[in-house]
Amino acid sequence: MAKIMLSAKEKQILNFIQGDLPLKSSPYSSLAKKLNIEEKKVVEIIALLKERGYIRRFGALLSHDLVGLRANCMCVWNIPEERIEEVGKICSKEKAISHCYLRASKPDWPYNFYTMVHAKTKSECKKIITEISKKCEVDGFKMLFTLKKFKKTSPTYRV
Amino acid sequence: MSQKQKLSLKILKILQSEFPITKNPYQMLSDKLDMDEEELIAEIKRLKKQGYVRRIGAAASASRLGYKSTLIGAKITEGSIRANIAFINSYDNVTHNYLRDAQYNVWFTFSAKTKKEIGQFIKIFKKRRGIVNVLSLPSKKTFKINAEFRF
Repeated sequence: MAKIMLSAKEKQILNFIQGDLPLKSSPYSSLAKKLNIEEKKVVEIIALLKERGYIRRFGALLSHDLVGLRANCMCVWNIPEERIEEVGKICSKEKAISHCYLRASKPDWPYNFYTMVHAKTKSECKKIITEISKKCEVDGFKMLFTLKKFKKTSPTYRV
Repeated sequence: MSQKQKLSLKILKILQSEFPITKNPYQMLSDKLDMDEEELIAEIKRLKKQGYVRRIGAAASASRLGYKSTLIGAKITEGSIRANIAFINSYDNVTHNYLRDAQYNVWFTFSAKTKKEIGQFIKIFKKRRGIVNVLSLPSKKTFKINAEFRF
């Protein structure tokens, strides 16, 4: 397991930047003041946190609807263990897929591979998935379309 | 597409992919976009208000920070959906929760600092009225996560 080696200041900065940054010329001024360090130092620490892999990405999080991606599907696949790496590689390159995971399957749920597929319409989603299934030569899959969004927030991992 | 729309798109792209880690990020971006910093900030304010920009900040690595998470699929009876959704959504550990067109009709993610905490939640959740069956599917390997939108 990854050891978390963060100083108190690093932790405070990481907690702060997981929220929505103040939209102003100096977004870190209030934080710097609170921590009693220079803004320059805050920025240095953020850059280091990113370098050390604590931050996956930094910037604006946009809405799906913006690009007209209104059809969202969780497509679950039954992939033989020995083909996982190969299929994983193909799916990662797919523009329409945002997330792709290997998970354990269950007795009444034989699916071990999970892809989130986004497109403008449901039929476009289906077309993309059919193409992927041909490309990967896998036909054991099930499409679970989003009917309703009950919750969607950015996760905040408090440290 | 109007000039204004083109500019908005350009701003969104740059905010998503090239947000600089620096003391005055909007000043740097406004130079790049050849506009005033104040003008840029006002435009971003508008884009946020309209819902195009959900948030500007960091996406932390859950695994790097030692968090455990799982995807939960639940078979929930029609009549109990409302009460059960309210219960699920009351947890901060849940960030995504959707109704899907399948027998396992409710799918959500649950993350916590320990596996034990996840296990405790599932135990309570399973006992609730209307919960027919529950799948907990922690990831064994991540191939792709949260890529940026291309537009």
